[in-house]
Amino acid sequence: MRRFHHLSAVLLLTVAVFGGGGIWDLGFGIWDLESGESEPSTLNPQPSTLNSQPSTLNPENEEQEAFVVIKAARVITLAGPEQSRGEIVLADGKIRLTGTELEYPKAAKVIDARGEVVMPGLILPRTRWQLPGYSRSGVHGDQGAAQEVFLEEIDFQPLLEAGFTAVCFYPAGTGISGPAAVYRTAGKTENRAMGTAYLRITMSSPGRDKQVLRQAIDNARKEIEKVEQARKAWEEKQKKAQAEAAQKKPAEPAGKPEGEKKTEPAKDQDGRQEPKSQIPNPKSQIPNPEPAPQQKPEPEKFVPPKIDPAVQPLVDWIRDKRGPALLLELASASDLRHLDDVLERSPEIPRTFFCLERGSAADYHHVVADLGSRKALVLSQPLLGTLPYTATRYNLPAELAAAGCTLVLLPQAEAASELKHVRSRLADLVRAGLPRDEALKAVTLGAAKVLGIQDRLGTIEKGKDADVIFLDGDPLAPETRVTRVMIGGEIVWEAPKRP
Amino acid sequence: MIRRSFTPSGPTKKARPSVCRCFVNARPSVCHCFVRSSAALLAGKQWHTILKAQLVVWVHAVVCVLVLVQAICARAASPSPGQAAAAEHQTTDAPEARPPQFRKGAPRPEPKPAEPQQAPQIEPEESKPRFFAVTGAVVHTVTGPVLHGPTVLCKNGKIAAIGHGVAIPKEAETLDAKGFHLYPGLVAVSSSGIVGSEPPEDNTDLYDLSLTLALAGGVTTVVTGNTAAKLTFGTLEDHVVKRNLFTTLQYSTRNPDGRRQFRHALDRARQHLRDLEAHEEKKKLDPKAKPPDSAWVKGEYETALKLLRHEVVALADANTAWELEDLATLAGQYDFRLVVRGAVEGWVAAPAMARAGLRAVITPRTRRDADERINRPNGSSIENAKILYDHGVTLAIVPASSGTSLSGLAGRDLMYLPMEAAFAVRGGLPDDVAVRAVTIDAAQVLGIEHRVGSVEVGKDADFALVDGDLLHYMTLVRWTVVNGRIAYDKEKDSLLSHVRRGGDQDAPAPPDYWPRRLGEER
Repeated sequence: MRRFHHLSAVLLLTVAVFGGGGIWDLGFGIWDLESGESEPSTLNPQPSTLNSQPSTLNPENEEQEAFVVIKAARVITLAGPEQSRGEIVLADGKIRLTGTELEYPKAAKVIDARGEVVMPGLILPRTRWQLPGYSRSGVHGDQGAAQEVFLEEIDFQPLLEAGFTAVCFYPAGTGISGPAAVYRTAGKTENRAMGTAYLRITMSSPGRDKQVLRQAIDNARKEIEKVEQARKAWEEKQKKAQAEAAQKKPAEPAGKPEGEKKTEPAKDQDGRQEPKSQIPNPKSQIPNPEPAPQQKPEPEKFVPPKIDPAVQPLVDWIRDKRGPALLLELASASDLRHLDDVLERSPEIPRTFFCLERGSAADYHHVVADLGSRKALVLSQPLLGTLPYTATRYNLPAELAAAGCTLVLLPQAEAASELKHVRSRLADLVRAGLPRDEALKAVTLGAAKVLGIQDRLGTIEKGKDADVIFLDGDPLAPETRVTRVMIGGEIVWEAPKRP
Repeated sequence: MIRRSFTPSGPTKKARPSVCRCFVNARPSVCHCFVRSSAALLAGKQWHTILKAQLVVWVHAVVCVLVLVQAICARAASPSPGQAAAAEHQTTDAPEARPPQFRKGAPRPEPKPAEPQQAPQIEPEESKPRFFAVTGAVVHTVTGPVLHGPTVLCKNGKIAAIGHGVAIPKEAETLDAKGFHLYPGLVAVSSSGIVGSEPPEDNTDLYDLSLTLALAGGVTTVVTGNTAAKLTFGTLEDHVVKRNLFTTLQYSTRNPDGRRQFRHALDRARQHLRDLEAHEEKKKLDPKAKPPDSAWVKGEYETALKLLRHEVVALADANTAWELEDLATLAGQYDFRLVVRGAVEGWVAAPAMARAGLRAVITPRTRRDADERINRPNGSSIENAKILYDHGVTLAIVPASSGTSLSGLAGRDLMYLPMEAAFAVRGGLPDDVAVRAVTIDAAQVLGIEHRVGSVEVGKDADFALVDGDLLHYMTLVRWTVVNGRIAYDKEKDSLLSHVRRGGDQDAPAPPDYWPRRLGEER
């Protein structure tokens, strides 16, 4: 598929360069629009600037590109101040402009939402919504939730009704249960999958999970060691071969094979494999750690031994200092100390994303300051509780936000009724001291951050996906309900009219 | 007149002390000579006289210049007294002008401007010592005298200094405990549910209520399974004190086979030790002597060997006099270290226990009725602890319930460890021995007396700071310190903060009065 793209791009380029007036015009039109878009002045929502540059939206493309304009009573962008009588210009499923009194092509379709509030679609960052109750324990860095999700079997209507435009399914289980997967709740099937997200590492029962994590880290280090040793053996072999070749043909220059040696291993160093080529039981590969070059008489390329795909994410972090996001799930304050205890010897593994599960202890107040000092991103349930064995009310989300954490809120339960109440739970937290902005970001931008899609979702900003929801009032008002849901610039759900 | 000018004047001699005098002395003679000779020349005197006078003048001039140069050099080398004093003052001032990292008198290295900026970067944050100091308390050292109001300074969780003149570092966390009593943290020889099961560093809930409750009882060290661990609230640092505390004996008349087997293992191990000893002697004569076979030393034989070598301590449950005497006989025969748990009838078997060097873990409040059918003293006695102590048995005291709980009958669990010890005092045990039985002697039973159990320099900074005599029933723990950190503070915890000191109801309520009402902020 990718190859095909390259091919078509090359074709287009050659046609554009060597003639073909019509295509040239089309190419120019696209180019013009894009160049106009990249100008920072158009970002400015002030009408004067926009009026001075009416060519921002190329009139020639008005027919070709379907522009949509949302005229709302209020737009909560979450990227700046709220705009009353705000307007959003969309094209091609993306947000082109936001502001007030914008200029837009006359042919654009106008969505009249002058009685409604528009805000970014809510994101459910961690759910098992309607997935089977299957779980696995142990280390499975390669087997994610994507294997379990069949979109046609899941009823997304309650999610849409609650205002969720994206959900992230996680693989259930303990230990390292694999990467989560992000989907849109509606829209065209080909646009719905948004890729994999964080990898869960549980520390809800330290006696069990510490052992698993320790073992996994040890295994990852062994795999790294295995590759290193194979590389050394290969290099020595190469040197020997070179020496032999030099003895045989002293005239041959030795520079070329060396250059190849330097570039090619760098490419293959991490030993990544295509998922298709993965063998279900990688342990059968381990007894044969010898690299492939030994079979060939004169190997040119270093083929690293296969790495156990289950620990591949840990190998990436420990060796390359980069890898998938890790969501560290705790069940009590003490678990954070145990997690630090295990990861003390592996400082490469990041400790920035935490999920505070509501265990029986509910004593996270002990570690709020610690999490704040780490500037952690914390998933928490929007519950107002009391400190253990006291009647002192404690607003954990508000305390986390005040301490400096990026807050992400989950529904209290996965029932449809509870999903609908997410916004009123937020209102409770706001009433008890959580800043309104933090509360709204906790279900939009914060959630997008933990899923690594903050460039696409989470706010109403130029360039982001047009995944927004329409509400018939303030999002935190108790009687407000979602009226419409837009995903990818299309209205995908509309509430039945109130009698 | 002219002749007079030939008399050698002493300017060269007298010039030494100072340059000025040189000039003063030189002027009358040399200048005079020059003037006279010039006058004589003009007056037409004899030429040789004039020549002589001129020669004298020039020689004087040269000498004067030389003296002057010498004097200047000498002055530069040895300055005047005032200047010398000033110079000395400068040298004493010099160290202050130096950068502070160089000590006085040390050779001064070349100045490197980049060095001090890099130095704090190289030094990691963690290497900063962690100081903690308690001042003003009555310190019950347990192994030494009672000290009134000294400073107990701790560094990195260990006691660094005790005394009245101890300087407290600026960065130290200081606890003013005037009016309180400082005891070493209590040691609970058995516990359940305070820290997690083995390994405790993987299973302990570091913020658990039971942990706080035990700390509120002044306990700082507990045993879980076969491991001694600290009640390190909120941290895993230095959590485990010692693993593999005991090897449990199954030596009972109800299991005659196991009994015989154990004796057999001990016999064989003892024989092996004798063989090894004999081999050492043999080797002196014949270096090629074959060592005794040791391939069979595993399992129970290995345990037996370790027991005989005093590498491990045995633990057995025994309550009746018969069992106690039986175990004492065994331990005496084979000379291994044995701790007996229970020892309800220890007061009957005390002489045998003492002879065999047994240590006992007792619960003074245990009641067991005497069996009338047995024709010897039996049953429990309030004097059990006293009699065991009088015979020289080392005692550790544990309460009837080794956990902590907020429900059920109060006063019999780990929150009330000192009360259990106080009950032994009721039976005649001296006060200080009762305190020892929950501190240093309990630590000795566990084999960790080098780390906990008393307030001594070098030991762990584990303290129970209480508001009265430890054994008094109204005494409550005010602070508990574990590894130099405050792990429990009565005023800050909702559990007992409402209880006024000494039961004084007129005393002002503590700041964190409990129960707090809903919505009331701290």
